[in-house]
Amino acid sequence: MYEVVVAVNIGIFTILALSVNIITGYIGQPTLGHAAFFGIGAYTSAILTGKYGVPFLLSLPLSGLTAGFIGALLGLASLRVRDDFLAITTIGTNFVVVAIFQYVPFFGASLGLSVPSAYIFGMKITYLGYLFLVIFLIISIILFLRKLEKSWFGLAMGGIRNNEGAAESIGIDIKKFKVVAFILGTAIAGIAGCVYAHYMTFISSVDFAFVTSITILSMAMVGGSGTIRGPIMGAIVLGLAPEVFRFAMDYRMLIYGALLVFTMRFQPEGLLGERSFLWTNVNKLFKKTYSKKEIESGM
Amino acid sequence: MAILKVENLKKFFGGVKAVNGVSVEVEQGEVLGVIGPNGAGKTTFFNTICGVYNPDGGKIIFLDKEIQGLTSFQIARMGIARTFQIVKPFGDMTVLDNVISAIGINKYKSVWGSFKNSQVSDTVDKAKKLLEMVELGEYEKEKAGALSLGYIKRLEIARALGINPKIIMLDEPCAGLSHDAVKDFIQLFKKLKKEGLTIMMVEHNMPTAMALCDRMIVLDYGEKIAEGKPKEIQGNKKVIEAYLGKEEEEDA
Repeated sequence: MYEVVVAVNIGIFTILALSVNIITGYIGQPTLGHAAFFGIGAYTSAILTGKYGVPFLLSLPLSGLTAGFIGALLGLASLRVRDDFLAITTIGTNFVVVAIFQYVPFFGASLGLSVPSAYIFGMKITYLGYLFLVIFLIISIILFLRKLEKSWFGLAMGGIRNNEGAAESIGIDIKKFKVVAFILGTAIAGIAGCVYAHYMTFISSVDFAFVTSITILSMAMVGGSGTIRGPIMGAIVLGLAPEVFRFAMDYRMLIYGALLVFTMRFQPEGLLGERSFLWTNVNKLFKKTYSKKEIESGM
Repeated sequence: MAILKVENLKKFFGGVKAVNGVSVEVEQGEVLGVIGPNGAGKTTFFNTICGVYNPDGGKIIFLDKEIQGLTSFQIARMGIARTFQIVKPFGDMTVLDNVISAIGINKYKSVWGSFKNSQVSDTVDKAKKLLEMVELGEYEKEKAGALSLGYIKRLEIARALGINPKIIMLDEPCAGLSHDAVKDFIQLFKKLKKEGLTIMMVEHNMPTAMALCDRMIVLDYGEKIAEGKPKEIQGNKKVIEAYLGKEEEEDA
Protein backbone atom coordinates (compact mmCIF):
# COMPACT_ATOMS: atom_id res chain seq x y z
CA MET A 1 0.00 0.00 0.00
CA TYR A 2 2.65 2.44 1.08
CA GLU A 3 4.70 1.48 -1.95
CA VAL A 4 1.81 2.19 -4.29
CA VAL A 5 1.21 5.61 -2.74
CA VAL A 6 4.88 6.53 -3.17
CA ALA A 7 4.91 5.14 -6.71
CA VAL A 8 1.89 7.17 -7.81
CA ASN A 9 3.45 10.27 -6.33
CA ILE A 10 6.68 9.65 -8.19
CA GLY A 11 4.66 8.94 -11.32
CA ILE A 12 2.88 12.28 -11.12
CA PHE A 13 6.17 14.06 -10.65
CA THR A 14 7.65 12.13 -13.56
CA ILE A 15 4.93 13.59 -15.77
CA LEU A 16 5.68 17.05 -14.38
CA ALA A 17 9.43 16.70 -14.90
CA LEU A 18 8.89 15.50 -18.47
CA SER A 19 6.59 18.45 -19.14
CA VAL A 20 8.88 21.13 -17.72
CA ASN A 21 11.64 19.57 -19.78
CA ILE A 22 9.84 20.56 -22.99
CA ILE A 23 10.19 24.20 -22.00
CA THR A 24 13.58 24.22 -20.28
CA GLY A 25 15.29 21.25 -21.88
CA TYR A 26 14.08 21.22 -25.46
CA ILE A 27 13.46 24.83 -26.35
CA GLY A 28 15.73 26.26 -23.66
CA GLN A 29 13.45 28.75 -21.94
CA PRO A 30 13.91 29.05 -18.18
CA THR A 31 10.71 28.51 -16.26
CA LEU A 32 10.48 28.56 -12.49
CA GLY A 33 6.72 28.57 -12.15
CA HIS A 34 5.68 25.22 -13.50
CA ALA A 35 3.73 24.31 -10.36
CA ALA A 36 1.25 27.05 -11.28
CA PHE A 37 0.05 24.98 -14.23
CA PHE A 38 0.08 21.82 -12.13
CA GLY A 39 -2.24 23.73 -9.83
CA ILE A 40 -4.40 25.14 -12.62
CA GLY A 41 -5.00 21.59 -13.84
CA ALA A 42 -5.82 20.38 -10.33
CA TYR A 43 -8.24 23.23 -9.56
CA THR A 44 -9.88 22.99 -12.98
CA SER A 45 -10.70 19.34 -12.45
CA ALA A 46 -11.70 19.86 -8.81
CA ILE A 47 -14.20 22.53 -9.83
CA LEU A 48 -15.46 20.80 -12.96
CA THR A 49 -16.09 17.49 -11.25
CA GLY A 50 -17.03 18.86 -7.82
CA LYS A 51 -19.25 21.79 -8.76
CA TYR A 52 -20.50 20.87 -12.21
CA GLY A 53 -20.48 17.10 -12.13
CA VAL A 54 -18.28 16.70 -15.19
CA PRO A 55 -17.03 13.10 -15.48
CA PHE A 56 -13.34 12.49 -14.77
CA LEU A 57 -12.51 11.23 -18.25
CA LEU A 58 -13.74 14.54 -19.70
CA SER A 59 -12.24 16.76 -17.04
CA LEU A 60 -8.81 15.16 -17.57
CA PRO A 61 -8.31 16.67 -21.07
CA LEU A 62 -10.14 19.84 -20.06
CA SER A 63 -7.64 20.40 -17.24
CA GLY A 64 -4.85 20.06 -19.78
CA LEU A 65 -6.57 22.50 -22.12
CA THR A 66 -7.11 25.10 -19.40
CA ALA A 67 -3.52 24.89 -18.22
CA GLY A 68 -2.33 24.99 -21.84
CA PHE A 69 -4.45 28.06 -22.55
CA ILE A 70 -2.98 29.98 -19.63
CA GLY A 71 0.43 28.57 -20.58
CA ALA A 72 -0.05 30.16 -24.00
CA LEU A 73 -0.46 33.53 -22.29
CA LEU A 74 2.80 32.98 -20.42
CA GLY A 75 4.36 31.90 -23.70
CA LEU A 76 3.27 35.16 -25.31
CA ALA A 77 4.80 37.03 -22.41
CA SER A 78 8.01 35.05 -22.88
CA LEU A 79 8.43 36.60 -26.32
CA ARG A 80 9.05 39.97 -24.72
CA VAL A 81 11.44 38.89 -21.99
CA ARG A 82 14.49 36.67 -22.05
CA ASP A 83 16.70 34.60 -19.80
CA ASP A 84 16.77 35.85 -16.22
CA PHE A 85 13.88 38.23 -16.85
CA LEU A 86 11.78 35.35 -18.12
CA ALA A 87 12.76 33.32 -15.05
CA ILE A 88 11.49 36.11 -12.79
CA THR A 89 8.31 36.45 -14.87
CA THR A 90 7.55 32.75 -14.42
CA ILE A 91 8.20 32.97 -10.66
CA GLY A 92 5.75 35.87 -10.58
CA THR A 93 3.17 33.81 -12.46
CA ASN A 94 3.50 31.10 -9.85
CA PHE A 95 2.90 33.52 -6.97
CA VAL A 96 -0.05 35.17 -8.68
CA VAL A 97 -1.74 31.84 -9.41
CA VAL A 98 -1.18 30.60 -5.85
CA ALA A 99 -2.53 33.87 -4.46
CA ILE A 100 -5.69 33.53 -6.55
CA PHE A 101 -6.24 30.00 -5.25
CA GLN A 102 -5.63 31.19 -1.72
CA TYR A 103 -7.86 34.27 -1.60
CA VAL A 104 -10.69 33.76 -4.08
CA PRO A 105 -13.63 32.00 -2.35
CA PHE A 106 -14.63 30.28 -5.60
CA PHE A 107 -11.39 28.29 -5.34
CA GLY A 108 -12.02 27.42 -1.71
CA ALA A 109 -9.63 30.15 -0.54
CA SER A 110 -7.43 29.13 2.37
CA LEU A 111 -9.66 26.15 3.20
CA GLY A 112 -8.74 24.40 -0.02
CA LEU A 113 -11.05 22.23 -2.04
CA SER A 114 -12.11 18.67 -1.52
CA VAL A 115 -12.20 16.71 -4.73
CA PRO A 116 -14.71 13.96 -5.51
CA SER A 117 -13.35 10.50 -6.26
CA ALA A 118 -12.79 9.74 -9.90
CA TYR A 119 -14.74 7.10 -11.76
CA ILE A 120 -13.81 5.51 -15.04
CA PHE A 121 -16.73 3.69 -16.74
CA GLY A 122 -18.60 3.69 -13.48
CA MET A 123 -15.75 2.16 -11.51
CA LYS A 124 -14.06 4.07 -8.73
CA ILE A 125 -10.33 4.36 -9.29
CA THR A 126 -8.38 2.63 -6.53
CA TYR A 127 -4.81 3.37 -5.49
CA LEU A 128 -3.65 0.64 -7.80
CA GLY A 129 -5.87 2.08 -10.51
CA TYR A 130 -4.10 5.41 -10.16
CA LEU A 131 -0.80 3.64 -10.54
CA PHE A 132 -1.93 2.13 -13.84
CA LEU A 133 -3.40 5.43 -14.98
CA VAL A 134 -0.16 7.25 -14.22
CA ILE A 135 1.93 4.59 -15.96
CA PHE A 136 -0.37 4.77 -18.97
CA LEU A 137 0.01 8.55 -19.10
CA ILE A 138 3.79 8.37 -18.74
CA ILE A 139 4.07 5.85 -21.57
CA SER A 140 1.84 7.98 -23.81
CA ILE A 141 3.94 11.04 -23.06
CA ILE A 142 7.18 9.18 -23.72
CA LEU A 143 5.87 7.95 -27.08
CA PHE A 144 4.75 11.48 -27.91
CA LEU A 145 8.11 12.98 -26.90
CA ARG A 146 10.02 10.41 -28.94
CA LYS A 147 8.02 11.46 -32.00
CA LEU A 148 8.54 15.08 -31.07
CA GLU A 149 12.33 14.75 -30.82
CA LYS A 150 12.52 13.35 -34.35
CA SER A 151 10.07 15.82 -35.84
CA TRP A 152 10.75 19.15 -37.49
CA PHE A 153 9.30 20.67 -34.36
CA GLY A 154 11.99 18.97 -32.29
CA LEU A 155 14.78 20.19 -34.55
CA ALA A 156 13.36 23.71 -34.53
CA MET A 157 13.27 23.66 -30.74
CA GLY A 158 16.91 22.54 -30.76
CA GLY A 159 17.80 25.40 -33.05
CA ILE A 160 16.07 27.93 -30.82
CA ARG A 161 17.70 26.46 -27.71
CA ASN A 162 21.15 26.80 -29.25
CA ASN A 163 20.90 30.12 -31.02
CA GLU A 164 17.82 32.13 -31.81
CA GLY A 165 19.53 34.25 -34.45
CA ALA A 166 20.78 31.23 -36.35
CA ALA A 167 17.39 29.54 -36.02
CA GLU A 168 15.69 32.54 -37.61
CA SER A 169 18.26 32.58 -40.39
CA ILE A 170 17.05 29.18 -41.54
CA GLY A 171 13.41 30.22 -41.56
CA ILE A 172 12.25 29.14 -38.11
CA ASP A 173 9.47 31.31 -36.72
CA ILE A 174 10.84 31.31 -33.16
CA LYS A 175 7.90 33.18 -31.65
CA LYS A 176 5.32 30.63 -32.72
CA PHE A 177 7.50 27.71 -31.73
CA LYS A 178 8.07 29.16 -28.27
CA VAL A 179 4.38 29.68 -27.63
CA VAL A 180 3.51 26.16 -28.81
CA ALA A 181 6.27 24.68 -26.63
CA PHE A 182 4.83 26.54 -23.64
CA ILE A 183 1.36 25.23 -24.49
CA LEU A 184 2.60 21.63 -24.69
CA GLY A 185 4.60 21.81 -21.47
CA THR A 186 1.90 23.49 -19.43
CA ALA A 187 -0.95 21.35 -20.81
CA ILE A 188 0.83 18.16 -19.75
CA ALA A 189 1.41 19.69 -16.30
CA GLY A 190 -2.32 20.43 -16.17
CA ILE A 191 -3.12 16.78 -16.84
CA ALA A 192 -0.77 15.78 -14.03
CA GLY A 193 -2.60 18.26 -11.81
CA CYS A 194 -5.95 16.66 -12.58
CA VAL A 195 -4.70 13.21 -11.63
CA TYR A 196 -3.10 14.60 -8.47
CA ALA A 197 -6.30 16.33 -7.36
CA HIS A 198 -8.44 13.20 -7.60
CA TYR A 199 -5.75 11.03 -6.13
CA MET A 200 -5.29 13.27 -3.08
CA THR A 201 -9.05 14.04 -2.83
CA PHE A 202 -8.09 17.35 -1.25
CA ILE A 203 -6.06 20.22 -2.65
CA SER A 204 -4.98 23.57 -1.31
CA SER A 205 -2.86 26.36 -2.70
CA VAL A 206 0.29 25.34 -0.78
CA ASP A 207 0.55 22.16 -2.89
CA PHE A 208 1.37 24.30 -5.91
CA ALA A 209 3.68 26.85 -4.34
CA PHE A 210 7.05 27.97 -5.66
CA VAL A 211 8.81 25.16 -3.77
CA THR A 212 6.96 22.63 -5.91
CA SER A 213 8.15 24.41 -9.05
CA ILE A 214 11.72 24.13 -7.81
CA THR A 215 11.26 20.42 -7.05
CA ILE A 216 9.94 19.76 -10.56
CA LEU A 217 12.74 21.70 -12.19
CA SER A 218 15.35 19.99 -9.99
CA MET A 219 14.09 16.60 -11.09
CA ALA A 220 14.52 17.52 -14.76
CA MET A 221 17.95 19.05 -14.18
CA VAL A 222 19.37 16.36 -11.89
CA GLY A 223 18.20 13.62 -14.20
CA GLY A 224 19.48 15.34 -17.32
CA SER A 225 17.46 17.94 -19.15
CA GLY A 226 16.89 17.75 -22.88
CA THR A 227 16.45 13.98 -22.77
CA ILE A 228 13.50 11.73 -22.01
CA ARG A 229 15.36 9.32 -19.71
CA GLY A 230 16.76 12.18 -17.61
CA PRO A 231 13.61 13.67 -16.10
CA ILE A 232 12.24 10.16 -15.43
CA MET A 233 15.42 9.25 -13.58
CA GLY A 234 15.39 12.58 -11.75
CA ALA A 235 11.81 12.13 -10.61
CA ILE A 236 12.59 8.64 -9.33
CA VAL A 237 15.80 9.61 -7.52
CA LEU A 238 14.51 12.81 -5.99
CA GLY A 239 11.09 11.30 -5.38
CA LEU A 240 12.54 8.31 -3.55
CA ALA A 241 15.23 10.21 -1.65
CA PRO A 242 12.90 11.57 1.06
CA GLU A 243 11.51 8.04 1.58
CA VAL A 244 14.84 6.25 1.52
CA PHE A 245 16.37 8.71 3.95
CA ARG A 246 13.40 8.50 6.28
CA PHE A 247 15.64 6.86 8.91
CA ALA A 248 17.60 10.09 8.95
CA MET A 249 14.38 12.04 9.37
CA ASP A 250 15.93 15.19 10.80
CA TYR A 251 18.55 15.41 8.13
CA ARG A 252 16.72 14.28 5.06
CA MET A 253 16.16 17.74 3.61
CA LEU A 254 19.86 18.33 4.17
CA ILE A 255 20.73 15.21 2.21
CA TYR A 256 18.23 16.16 -0.48
CA GLY A 257 19.76 19.60 -0.85
CA ALA A 258 23.30 18.25 -0.86
CA LEU A 259 22.31 15.84 -3.63
CA LEU A 260 21.20 18.78 -5.74
CA VAL A 261 24.37 20.74 -5.10
CA PHE A 262 26.62 17.80 -5.86
CA THR A 263 24.95 16.90 -9.14
CA MET A 264 25.09 20.47 -10.35
CA ARG A 265 28.73 20.76 -9.33
CA PHE A 266 30.00 17.43 -10.66
CA GLN A 267 27.44 16.43 -13.29
CA PRO A 268 25.94 19.64 -14.66
CA GLU A 269 24.50 17.70 -17.58
CA GLY A 270 22.52 15.60 -15.12
CA LEU A 271 22.82 11.96 -14.11
CA LEU A 272 21.69 10.60 -17.47
CA GLY A 273 22.29 13.63 -19.67
CA GLU A 274 24.18 13.50 -22.91
CA ARG A 275 27.90 12.93 -22.14
CA SER A 276 27.27 12.39 -18.42
CA PHE A 277 29.51 9.88 -16.64
CA LEU A 278 26.73 7.39 -16.08
CA TRP A 279 25.22 7.53 -19.55
CA THR A 280 28.56 7.29 -21.34
CA ASN A 281 29.43 4.16 -19.40
CA VAL A 282 26.04 2.59 -19.85
CA ASN A 283 26.45 3.20 -23.56
CA LYS A 284 29.93 1.67 -23.56
CA LEU A 285 28.58 -1.39 -21.80
CA PHE A 286 25.92 -1.91 -24.44
CA LYS A 287 27.90 -0.58 -27.32
CA LYS A 288 27.48 -3.64 -29.50
CA THR A 289 23.73 -3.85 -29.23
CA TYR A 290 23.53 -0.11 -29.58
CA SER A 291 25.30 0.06 -32.90
CA LYS A 292 23.36 -2.93 -34.19
CA LYS A 293 20.15 -1.13 -33.48
CA GLU A 294 21.42 1.88 -35.32
CA ILE A 295 22.15 -0.14 -38.42
CA GLU A 296 18.69 -1.65 -38.31
CA SER A 297 16.99 1.70 -38.10
CA GLY A 298 19.07 2.83 -41.03
CA MET A 299 20.61 5.76 -39.24
CA MET B 1 18.96 40.39 -64.21
CA ALA B 2 19.36 41.85 -60.76
CA ILE B 3 18.22 39.33 -58.18
CA LEU B 4 18.68 41.70 -55.26
CA LYS B 5 18.39 45.46 -55.40
CA VAL B 6 19.25 47.63 -52.44
CA GLU B 7 18.18 51.26 -52.77
CA ASN B 8 19.42 53.98 -50.48
CA LEU B 9 19.46 51.69 -47.44
CA LYS B 10 19.80 53.39 -44.06
CA LYS B 11 20.31 52.03 -40.57
CA PHE B 12 21.07 54.31 -37.66
CA PHE B 13 21.88 53.44 -34.08
CA GLY B 14 21.08 56.64 -32.20
CA GLY B 15 23.47 59.14 -33.73
CA VAL B 16 25.65 56.52 -35.39
CA LYS B 17 24.92 56.19 -39.07
CA ALA B 18 25.99 52.56 -39.45
CA VAL B 19 24.57 52.26 -42.96
CA ASN B 20 23.87 55.57 -44.64
CA GLY B 21 22.25 55.47 -48.03
CA VAL B 22 23.89 52.45 -49.64
CA SER B 23 22.59 51.29 -53.01
CA VAL B 24 23.73 48.20 -54.83
CA GLU B 25 22.45 45.64 -57.31
CA VAL B 26 23.39 41.99 -57.21
CA GLU B 27 23.19 40.12 -60.49
CA GLN B 28 22.07 36.52 -60.78
CA GLY B 29 25.05 34.21 -60.43
CA GLU B 30 27.67 36.77 -59.50
CA VAL B 31 29.91 37.05 -56.50
CA LEU B 32 29.68 40.46 -54.91
CA GLY B 33 32.26 41.36 -52.28
CA VAL B 34 31.54 43.88 -49.56
CA ILE B 35 34.74 45.25 -48.14
CA GLY B 36 35.78 48.14 -45.99
CA PRO B 37 37.81 48.97 -42.90
CA ASN B 38 36.74 47.92 -39.41
CA GLY B 39 33.50 49.54 -38.32
CA ALA B 40 32.56 50.49 -41.86
CA GLY B 41 29.09 48.97 -41.41
CA LYS B 42 29.53 45.81 -43.46
CA THR B 43 27.94 43.45 -40.98
CA THR B 44 25.16 45.95 -40.20
CA PHE B 45 24.55 46.18 -43.93
CA PHE B 46 24.20 42.39 -44.06
CA ASN B 47 22.02 42.23 -40.97
CA THR B 48 19.70 44.90 -42.32
CA ILE B 49 19.23 43.01 -45.57
CA CYS B 50 18.60 39.76 -43.67
CA GLY B 51 15.97 41.35 -41.45
CA VAL B 52 17.90 41.20 -38.19
CA TYR B 53 17.51 44.98 -38.07
CA ASN B 54 14.64 47.03 -39.37
CA PRO B 55 16.02 49.62 -41.82
CA ASP B 56 15.49 53.31 -41.06
CA GLY B 57 15.10 54.10 -44.71
CA GLY B 58 15.47 52.79 -48.22
CA LYS B 59 14.24 49.75 -50.06
CA ILE B 60 15.40 46.17 -50.43
CA ILE B 61 13.94 44.48 -53.49
CA PHE B 62 14.45 40.75 -53.82
CA LEU B 63 13.04 39.04 -56.89
CA ASP B 64 10.83 42.08 -57.57
CA LYS B 65 9.35 42.07 -54.06
CA GLU B 66 10.05 44.65 -51.40
CA ILE B 67 11.33 42.83 -48.34
CA GLN B 68 12.44 45.61 -46.02
CA GLY B 69 10.75 45.37 -42.64
CA LEU B 70 10.09 41.65 -42.85
CA THR B 71 11.43 39.49 -40.03
CA SER B 72 14.55 37.47 -40.64
CA PHE B 73 12.77 34.12 -40.73
CA GLN B 74 10.43 35.41 -43.44
CA ILE B 75 13.37 36.67 -45.45
CA ALA B 76 15.09 33.31 -45.06
CA ARG B 77 11.94 31.64 -46.32
CA MET B 78 12.07 33.81 -49.44
CA GLY B 79 15.49 32.41 -50.26
CA ILE B 80 18.19 34.53 -48.65
CA ALA B 81 20.59 32.41 -46.63
CA ARG B 82 23.45 33.60 -44.49
CA THR B 83 26.37 32.63 -42.32
CA PHE B 84 27.66 34.54 -39.34
CA GLN B 85 30.87 36.38 -38.62
CA ILE B 86 30.83 34.97 -35.10
CA VAL B 87 29.76 31.40 -35.72
CA LYS B 88 26.37 30.28 -34.46
CA PRO B 89 26.20 26.51 -34.77
CA PHE B 90 23.52 24.46 -33.01
CA GLY B 91 26.26 23.21 -30.71
CA ASP B 92 24.55 20.40 -28.82
CA MET B 93 22.99 18.90 -31.94
CA THR B 94 24.75 16.58 -34.36
CA VAL B 95 26.35 17.98 -37.48
CA LEU B 96 23.77 16.13 -39.55
CA ASP B 97 20.83 17.51 -37.56
CA ASN B 98 22.22 21.02 -37.99
CA VAL B 99 21.82 20.68 -41.72
CA ILE B 100 18.55 18.73 -41.59
CA SER B 101 16.93 21.44 -39.48
CA ALA B 102 17.58 23.92 -42.29
CA ILE B 103 16.10 21.66 -44.94
CA GLY B 104 12.84 21.81 -42.99
CA ILE B 105 12.18 25.26 -44.40
CA ASN B 106 10.70 23.66 -47.51
CA LYS B 107 9.03 20.80 -45.67
CA TYR B 108 6.62 22.67 -43.45
CA LYS B 109 4.94 26.05 -43.68
CA SER B 110 4.04 26.78 -40.08
CA VAL B 111 4.34 25.30 -36.63
CA TRP B 112 1.32 23.07 -37.09
CA GLY B 113 2.89 21.29 -40.03
CA SER B 114 6.13 20.75 -38.16
CA PHE B 115 5.03 17.73 -36.15
CA LYS B 116 5.99 15.46 -39.04
CA ASN B 117 9.00 13.17 -38.86
CA SER B 118 12.12 14.93 -40.07
CA GLN B 119 14.34 11.88 -40.37
CA VAL B 120 13.01 10.67 -43.71
CA SER B 121 15.42 9.30 -46.25
CA ASP B 122 15.25 12.00 -48.93
CA THR B 123 15.88 14.72 -46.35
CA VAL B 124 18.71 12.83 -44.68
CA ASP B 125 20.26 12.08 -48.07
CA LYS B 126 20.12 15.71 -49.05
CA ALA B 127 21.75 16.75 -45.78
CA LYS B 128 24.47 14.13 -46.26
CA LYS B 129 25.11 15.38 -49.77
CA LEU B 130 25.54 18.91 -48.51
CA LEU B 131 27.92 17.68 -45.81
CA GLU B 132 29.93 15.81 -48.43
CA MET B 133 30.12 18.99 -50.41
CA VAL B 134 31.67 20.92 -47.53
CA GLU B 135 33.75 17.84 -46.69
CA LEU B 136 32.25 17.20 -43.30
CA GLY B 137 30.69 13.88 -44.21
CA GLU B 138 32.73 11.89 -41.73
CA TYR B 139 31.73 14.15 -38.84
CA GLU B 140 27.97 13.85 -39.31
CA LYS B 141 27.43 12.19 -35.96
CA GLU B 142 29.65 14.53 -33.97
CA LYS B 143 28.16 17.32 -31.94
CA ALA B 144 28.51 20.56 -33.90
CA GLY B 145 29.96 22.34 -30.89
CA ALA B 146 32.89 19.92 -30.79
CA LEU B 147 34.17 20.90 -34.24
CA SER B 148 37.01 23.32 -34.86
CA LEU B 149 36.26 26.84 -36.05
CA GLY B 150 37.09 26.12 -39.68
CA TYR B 151 34.73 23.16 -39.72
CA ILE B 152 31.97 25.08 -38.01
CA LYS B 153 32.25 27.78 -40.66
CA ARG B 154 31.86 25.14 -43.33
CA LEU B 155 28.98 23.59 -41.43
CA GLU B 156 27.28 26.99 -41.43
CA ILE B 157 27.63 27.09 -45.19
CA ALA B 158 26.08 23.63 -45.49
CA ARG B 159 23.28 24.72 -43.17
CA ALA B 160 22.69 27.88 -45.19
CA LEU B 161 22.60 25.83 -48.40
CA GLY B 162 20.05 23.56 -46.72
CA ILE B 163 17.33 26.16 -47.18
CA ASN B 164 17.87 26.01 -50.95
CA PRO B 165 18.74 29.68 -51.17
CA LYS B 166 18.68 31.88 -54.24
CA ILE B 167 21.38 34.01 -52.72
CA ILE B 168 23.80 33.25 -49.91
CA MET B 169 25.42 35.92 -47.79
CA LEU B 170 28.73 34.99 -46.20
CA ASP B 171 29.85 37.22 -43.35
CA GLU B 172 33.64 37.01 -43.11
CA PRO B 173 33.94 33.31 -43.92
CA CYS B 174 37.73 33.40 -43.50
CA ALA B 175 37.97 35.40 -40.29
CA GLY B 176 40.03 33.62 -37.67
CA LEU B 177 40.97 30.72 -39.94
CA SER B 178 44.44 29.27 -40.27
CA HIS B 179 46.28 29.53 -43.56
CA ASP B 180 45.37 25.96 -44.52
CA ALA B 181 41.74 26.43 -43.57
CA VAL B 182 41.57 29.50 -45.78
CA LYS B 183 42.93 27.44 -48.66
CA ASP B 184 40.26 24.80 -48.05
CA PHE B 185 37.63 27.48 -47.97
CA ILE B 186 38.73 28.87 -51.32
CA GLN B 187 38.36 25.38 -52.81
CA LEU B 188 34.86 25.12 -51.41
CA PHE B 189 34.02 28.60 -52.58
CA LYS B 190 34.99 27.78 -56.13
CA LYS B 191 32.69 24.76 -55.98
CA LEU B 192 29.79 26.96 -54.88
CA LYS B 193 30.53 29.40 -57.64
CA LYS B 194 30.54 26.63 -60.21
CA GLU B 195 27.06 25.63 -59.09
CA GLY B 196 25.91 29.05 -60.20
CA LEU B 197 25.01 30.31 -56.75
CA THR B 198 24.65 34.05 -56.23
CA ILE B 199 26.96 35.01 -53.40
CA MET B 200 27.38 38.16 -51.37
CA MET B 201 30.43 38.15 -49.13
CA VAL B 202 32.01 40.35 -46.51
CA GLU B 203 35.71 39.69 -46.47
CA HIS B 204 38.64 41.25 -44.68
CA ASN B 205 41.40 39.29 -46.28
CA MET B 206 42.12 41.39 -49.36
CA PRO B 207 43.98 38.84 -51.49
CA THR B 208 41.18 36.32 -50.94
CA ALA B 209 38.50 38.86 -51.70
CA MET B 210 40.31 40.03 -54.82
CA ALA B 211 40.66 36.49 -56.06
CA LEU B 212 37.09 35.38 -55.42
CA CYS B 213 34.82 38.31 -56.19
CA ASP B 214 33.45 39.29 -59.58
CA ARG B 215 32.58 42.74 -58.33
CA MET B 216 33.02 44.65 -55.11
CA ILE B 217 31.58 47.52 -53.20
CA VAL B 218 33.58 49.35 -50.59
CA LEU B 219 31.93 50.78 -47.48
CA ASP B 220 33.39 53.40 -45.19
CA TYR B 221 31.53 55.08 -42.33
CA GLY B 222 28.33 53.51 -43.60
CA GLU B 223 28.62 54.95 -47.09
CA LYS B 224 29.50 53.31 -50.36
CA ILE B 225 32.71 54.91 -51.56
CA ALA B 226 33.50 52.69 -54.52
CA GLU B 227 32.11 49.95 -56.71
CA GLY B 228 33.65 47.96 -59.49
CA LYS B 229 35.86 45.06 -60.55
CA PRO B 230 38.56 44.02 -58.05
CA LYS B 231 41.27 45.53 -60.27
CA GLU B 232 39.50 48.88 -60.36
CA ILE B 233 39.00 48.85 -56.62
CA GLN B 234 42.65 48.12 -56.02
CA GLY B 235 43.67 51.36 -57.68
CA ASN B 236 40.82 53.50 -56.38
CA LYS B 237 42.19 56.49 -54.50
CA LYS B 238 39.26 56.78 -52.09
CA VAL B 239 39.59 53.13 -51.12
CA ILE B 240 43.28 53.44 -50.41
CA GLU B 241 42.54 56.50 -48.30
CA ALA B 242 39.86 54.69 -46.37
CA TYR B 243 42.20 51.82 -45.55
CA LEU B 244 45.45 53.68 -45.05
CA GLY B 245 44.37 57.24 -44.27
CA LYS B 246 45.11 60.44 -46.18
CA GLU B 247 48.67 61.53 -46.73
CA GLU B 248 48.25 64.79 -44.80
CA GLU B 249 47.01 62.82 -41.80
CA GLU B 250 50.03 60.61 -41.93
CA ASP B 251 52.30 63.64 -41.92
CA ALA B 252 50.57 65.22 -38.97
